[in-house]
Amino acid sequence: MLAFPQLASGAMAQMPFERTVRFRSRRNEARDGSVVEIGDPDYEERTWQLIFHELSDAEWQALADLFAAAGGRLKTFTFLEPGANLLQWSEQLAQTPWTVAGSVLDGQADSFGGARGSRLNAGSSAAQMVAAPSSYRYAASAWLRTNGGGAKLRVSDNGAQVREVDVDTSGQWKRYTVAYAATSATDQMKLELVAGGAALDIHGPQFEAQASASAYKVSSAQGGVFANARFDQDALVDEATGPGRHDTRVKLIWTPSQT
Amino acid sequence: MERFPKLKTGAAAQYGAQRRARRATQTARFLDSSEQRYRDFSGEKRSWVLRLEQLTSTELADIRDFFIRMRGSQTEFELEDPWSGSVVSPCRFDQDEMTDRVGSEGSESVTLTIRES
Repeated sequence: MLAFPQLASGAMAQMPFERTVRFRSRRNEARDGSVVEIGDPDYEERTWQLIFHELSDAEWQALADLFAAAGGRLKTFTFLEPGANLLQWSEQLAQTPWTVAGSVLDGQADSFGGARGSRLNAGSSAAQMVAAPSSYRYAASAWLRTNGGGAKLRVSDNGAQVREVDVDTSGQWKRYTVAYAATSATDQMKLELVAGGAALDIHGPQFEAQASASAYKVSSAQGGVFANARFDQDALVDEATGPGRHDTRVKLIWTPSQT
Repeated sequence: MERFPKLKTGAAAQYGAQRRARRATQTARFLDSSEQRYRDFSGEKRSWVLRLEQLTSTELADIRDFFIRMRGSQTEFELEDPWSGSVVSPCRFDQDEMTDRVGSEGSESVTLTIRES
């Protein structure tokens, strides 16, 4: 899988970085105040401007190798948005691409006192596959509560590499995290929520391409995985600031209607 | 119809926000210095500029996800007027582009313009 490389720390980028989401529409306002608006339903564009300082030789080489393999702006690769929730529909587990064995109810109580949680009935499970390099580091997290034993938050490469944490039976909301780092080539990651002997309340499941979990970010139809991203530049500049120290700027673009 | 998300505190906006009420009056002046005024449209058109700073990444993700679901200016939604607390509907974003600078936790910021449609 051709993918934007992770840094040695497990981060996808250095902060700060800038990102833009752009749609396209035309608006005409007449003198009487009436408005004619036409939106382009197909066009969407995301861009990221990443600034890297003090990359090591290995980090720089991984970036240069990707740039060469992609041929600059020519070919696409997978980009995992830094710090973003890689899952789709983080608050609607009844939506595709979640696969539920058993039953789940959305719109339930959440850990912030709202109604953005989900309830997985006893003996049920909900899983989502993420098409991302299985050799990267990931952090999964979710607020969970249950009264029954056997509930788990699990991450795997959809193969032999499995990391999981047990949910305690206190019936109190608690944020659980699972860190994943393995040598694997399945290039498929899987997050799974498993209810044990009682219903499992879930809020804010999150999957990130980094070493540890960050603050929760909601996601909808498009998670943080951009399968057909491109470089938006045909030159990659290596500014050598010392032995084994490289600075560079990278601009990426994702336009699903045009790829 | 969906409603513009509130911040974690329950506030609809932060200080530094702007509210604008626009009317359209045309004036015709004559040689004898008299003038005639008339309205292009009745009522007023309201808009709001929300400058949101020191957001947590959770708050920014809520707002960004909402902007994406609305596809910028393409979808109407409800807004709770930060001044009056009354719900204004329908509204739209007055922009098709949203840029945010991702930094350390609690330092995110974004500016959005919303208009009554």
